Amino acid sequence: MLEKPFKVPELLVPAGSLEKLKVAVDYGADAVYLAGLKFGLRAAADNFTESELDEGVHYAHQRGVKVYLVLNGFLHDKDLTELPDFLKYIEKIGVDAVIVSDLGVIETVKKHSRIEIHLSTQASCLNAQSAKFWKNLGVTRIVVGREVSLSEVKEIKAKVDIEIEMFIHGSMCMAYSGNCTISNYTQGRDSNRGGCAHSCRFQYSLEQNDQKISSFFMSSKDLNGLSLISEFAKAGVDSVKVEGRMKSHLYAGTVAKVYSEALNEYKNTGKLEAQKIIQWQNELKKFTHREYAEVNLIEKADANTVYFERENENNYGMLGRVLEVKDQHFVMQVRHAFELGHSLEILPFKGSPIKLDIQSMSSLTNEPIERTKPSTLVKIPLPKDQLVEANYLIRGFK
Amino acid sequence: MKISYAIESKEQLKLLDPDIDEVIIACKELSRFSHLNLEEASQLIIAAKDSGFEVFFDFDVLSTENEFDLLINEFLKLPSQHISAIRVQDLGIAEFLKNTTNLDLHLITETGNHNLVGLKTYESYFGKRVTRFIVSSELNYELLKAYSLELNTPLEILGFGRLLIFYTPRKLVSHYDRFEWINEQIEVSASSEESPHKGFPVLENKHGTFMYHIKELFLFDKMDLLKESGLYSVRVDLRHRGKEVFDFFVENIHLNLAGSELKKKVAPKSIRGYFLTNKSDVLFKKLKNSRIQRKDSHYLGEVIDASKDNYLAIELKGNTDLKVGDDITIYNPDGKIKDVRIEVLQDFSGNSLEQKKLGLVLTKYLSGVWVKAQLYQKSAQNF
Repeated sequence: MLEKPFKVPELLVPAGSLEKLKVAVDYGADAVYLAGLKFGLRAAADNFTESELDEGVHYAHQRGVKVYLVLNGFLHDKDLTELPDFLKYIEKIGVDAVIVSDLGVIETVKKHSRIEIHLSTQASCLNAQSAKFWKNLGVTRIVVGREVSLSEVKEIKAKVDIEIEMFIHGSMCMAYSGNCTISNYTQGRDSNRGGCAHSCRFQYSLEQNDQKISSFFMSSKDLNGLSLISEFAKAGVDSVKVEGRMKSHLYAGTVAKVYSEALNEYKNTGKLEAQKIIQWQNELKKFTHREYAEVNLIEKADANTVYFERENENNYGMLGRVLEVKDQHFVMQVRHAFELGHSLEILPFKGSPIKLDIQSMSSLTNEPIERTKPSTLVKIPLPKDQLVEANYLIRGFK
Repeated sequence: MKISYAIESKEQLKLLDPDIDEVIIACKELSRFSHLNLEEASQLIIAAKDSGFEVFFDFDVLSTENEFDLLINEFLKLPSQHISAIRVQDLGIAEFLKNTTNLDLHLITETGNHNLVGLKTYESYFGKRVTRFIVSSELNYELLKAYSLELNTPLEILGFGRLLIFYTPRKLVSHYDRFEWINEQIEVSASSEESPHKGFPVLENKHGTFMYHIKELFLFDKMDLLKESGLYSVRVDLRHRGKEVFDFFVENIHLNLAGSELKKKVAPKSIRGYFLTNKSDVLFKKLKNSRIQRKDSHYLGEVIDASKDNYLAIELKGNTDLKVGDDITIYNPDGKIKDVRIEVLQDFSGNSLEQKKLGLVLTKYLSGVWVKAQLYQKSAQNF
């Protein structure tokens, strides 16, 4: 019999930039992961300068949130020479752990710091024997390969005393992570040092003799493990991870809020009500995503987990964020245009979204506005009897 | 320098010389690619050993926890006394074999492992049980040379064969129902409809789906560099090609036919990959607009609204105060730079401010300054 409060995994949310870190923290992440300007796998992401790292760690720690820094590129010798100074810096500012996939990086971290080491999913640790190997080399947590099921994690936990982190939401590599070099050989960009060109998302024609078909045959559906939170908890998963440092502020905020609410619900009651799962799943549809699947969490992923369509922008998305709140109005930073009569949803850090029909709005110089423009600021009257705070995200139909 | 051949028949053995050649044998149950089943592979292993060859077995699939014991059970059926070393990529399988057998290991480090520190750590961990590193084709010959000198463990690299660029356990082809299975595998040719890359061999078998480079890798036209690099062995894997190519290659490499001539005959459209140089990180700086990337020194913040003839709205993010009278430099997203003096500061309600640190502030509109422009104290030497 499980005891209250029920043990739940940590919620680990991506922070692709300092702004996104604050969004993830404000909306309920227990921990965030981020990258400096080098050594990670997302060369195209904004990533963090040293002073942004300092500010980000400070912001997170003040709110009880841990910060893990990714050093998960398969680094070359010349990259390693620059690493020790960076390690000293991140240790000084209090980064809680580094996420690493390369053995050379692990040794360098051990030699030049005392920072805790988490093994990246990029290392494709898939079984208990592999977990033993990495534990013997000083790793304290393993982000298991995305091919590992929940029942397999339970087995691994039973055999090896090590923390396990597991993806619960987001885009999936179709390949075993770290086992794809399509970008390296077709685009001249090392996918394992941050240059992935997402060739698996392309359309291909497949031919054999006189048979031919055109298909997005190697594009994976997105992972969504919300309904399986109790299984994650029962399997003994220590941390559930959301993919997506390159994704939007709205994504970071929504996944942090939804999963944090669901984990809290489970923590307090030991179950998730069906009606609430439906509500949360609806929330997870309100940003751009591919069709969802549980992929490998329960059964081995098969053809049903392939996403056979070209990626489309969801027409529901982030319209802006609240910058400042005054007595009668708030100032909104507009990301996508909207006009009078439009219906918005303000996403509070906790609780239900606040509906807001736009009946009037003005510029900062109090000129009335009928239609906003992206990258501008507008003043909007506050909704009645609703608390609105700075940094709330605002979403709606784009 | 030895040549290691992936072989699938006794006839191939007869063409090879056990004094200079080694053989690699695989089976469908345990290897990413093979036409042989475990029984056929076992017979070939015994025949090869009896013919005086060093025999290496490819146990190179990756395994999740549920499959692990099943694979090991299959593995235990092999005539391991005839095998000189097991070639393994999954570090769990390597760990298991280290702890439960006396077999030597050839560690497949082809996915990553592009630094000496990591390879030395494997050496230190596995000790004498690892007798070879099968290293990445992304290492150039100069690095291979340095690694050969620094490591105690002999190195092997792919010299001629298909270059694996993608490996998934998911079955991505068979569900289309229109492609023919041959010997428990389906092979199709995949051509990108969004890039110029046509004709990737894609193979599905019981272990998943594998994609190979459009062109084969061929390094034997750089035999001098191969030898100079200090490699212990260079691998030839032509199991996807016909018997004639294998026979021709073996015969002519034994006769010392010039590599360039050999290339023309057996692999005219091949590549050398990264053997001569690897610049796969040089494009990274083009993936982002560096002009809107924040630099720490003297950073003030970012323009978040530019209302013509009215104001610039600025979000102050740096650690520095912005004061009336400050000289600042503005870096626009298009690369244009403006030096200006701050004459006015206001909050969003229009109240005048003398200075502000962090948060939101308005100042006088400046023509040619855009949203996302980055602001720095003028003394900064940022670009």
